[in-house]
Amino acid sequence: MMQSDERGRYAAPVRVRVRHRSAALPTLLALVLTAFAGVAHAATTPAGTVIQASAEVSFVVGTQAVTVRSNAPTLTVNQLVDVAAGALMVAVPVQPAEASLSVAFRVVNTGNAPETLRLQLTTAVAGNLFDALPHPPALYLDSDASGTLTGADAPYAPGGNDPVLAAGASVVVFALVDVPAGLADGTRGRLELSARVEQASGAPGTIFPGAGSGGVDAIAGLSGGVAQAGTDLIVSGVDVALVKRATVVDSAGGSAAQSGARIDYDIVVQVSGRSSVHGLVIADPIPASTRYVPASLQLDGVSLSDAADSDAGTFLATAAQVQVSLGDQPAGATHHVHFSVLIN
Amino acid sequence: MKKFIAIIPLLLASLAASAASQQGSILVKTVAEQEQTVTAANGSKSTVLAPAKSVLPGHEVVYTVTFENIGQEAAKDVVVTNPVPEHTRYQAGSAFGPGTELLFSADGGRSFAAADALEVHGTDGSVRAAEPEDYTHIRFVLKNSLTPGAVAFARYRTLVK
Repeated sequence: MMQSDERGRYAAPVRVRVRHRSAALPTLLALVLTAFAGVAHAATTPAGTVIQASAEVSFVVGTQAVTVRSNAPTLTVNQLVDVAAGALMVAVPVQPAEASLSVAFRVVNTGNAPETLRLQLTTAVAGNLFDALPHPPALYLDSDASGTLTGADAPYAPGGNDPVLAAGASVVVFALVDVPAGLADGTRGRLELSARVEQASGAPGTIFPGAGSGGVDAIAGLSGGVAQAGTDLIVSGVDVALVKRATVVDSAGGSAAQSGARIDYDIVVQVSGRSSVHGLVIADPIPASTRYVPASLQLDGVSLSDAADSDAGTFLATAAQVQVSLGDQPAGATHHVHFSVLIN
Repeated sequence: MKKFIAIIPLLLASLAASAASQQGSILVKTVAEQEQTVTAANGSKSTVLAPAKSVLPGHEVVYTVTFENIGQEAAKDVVVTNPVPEHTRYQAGSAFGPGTELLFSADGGRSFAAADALEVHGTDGSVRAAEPEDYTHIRFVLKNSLTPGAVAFARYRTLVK
């Protein structure tokens, strides 16, 4: 299983590419850890808020100074119904007949009022080479906010404990599935989670008069009040785990994530499973609002040049990402990738 | 009894006069509108301003302030000050008022300067150029007097956060 321990708002997604020689066709896996955590949502004006504007005019008539005010037209902020969902991993390496596999999704209320969400897991997705088997009750809410499925997490019952999310809030949802037996390496099966605002979903722009909190109109945003996220389960005899840590060093020697501060990233790459991974490439985009510190890339404590040359590391300025080619790696291998960025 | 009735209209008249002097001789009105795209019968599209009563986050609101000199004398040194409404941010470059000088405040209306001279002073003594999202007030300073009967207008746009 792939893991991530990303800290701070400058946590960046890491991408791993694994090329399987054993598969009938060369398979390119793109495993992306989406850094949902720490994406700061700009504060959205809550539904029902009243916005007032007025002008003040001062002038002089003769010798008398006068000040007058205008009327103050009021605008009521309607309810924006919007929801987003993402798989915490775009692809999950699995083994044939793997039982009770948990796959994490995050659902975010991107609207401006609390919403009740109806969740649904789909395992029979068009194009699947295999359908994962839902392990009843199939969905769990991350009740203890641990980020992993634990005994404290509530089984989800549609209509029974539909999550209620405040504006900007999110919840992690786990799908629990079994993988069928007898699958060849490289076989893919997709899982999809949908989250729907039951009361107000429709084409973007649909108006639900008076359906918003406090009686304002609810209006379907770009999502139409429905979010869908999917992840591919990919049968593979090998597993790559990534743990990424960020340490912030500011100019005063503290750890404030402020302009000019340096963030040191340390990515631990661990290969496990039964076979080897071939052509392993770690690619990590530089987070937005930061810039790469030239010549800061290291593999296992050894500096790598930024240029695309004979050593394993490259900083791709055009793609704003660091890339380290680890080549063939047997199960049990561990590597450390290090680089630094400066906050703009 | 007759005497008593006569006093009341006099009293009302004096009240009205004092109200007028308090209000001065400029009538000022603020209108909130939103742009809407209208498709004509022949399929051509045009953008019109329509009165706004409700908005969504991310929407733009166009505020138009009209001021009319309803008095008998010219009004000098006319200054129109508009706080950027709470929950909105000023849309860069949107303020427009014919015959006015445009000033902004980024400190709650304590000081005003032109956009390119406006600064934000941090509590730690740091100084940086103000960004449109820092603006707290928009001020239009009329370059000329407003003569009796004259109407002027100013306009700015904000984005609902």
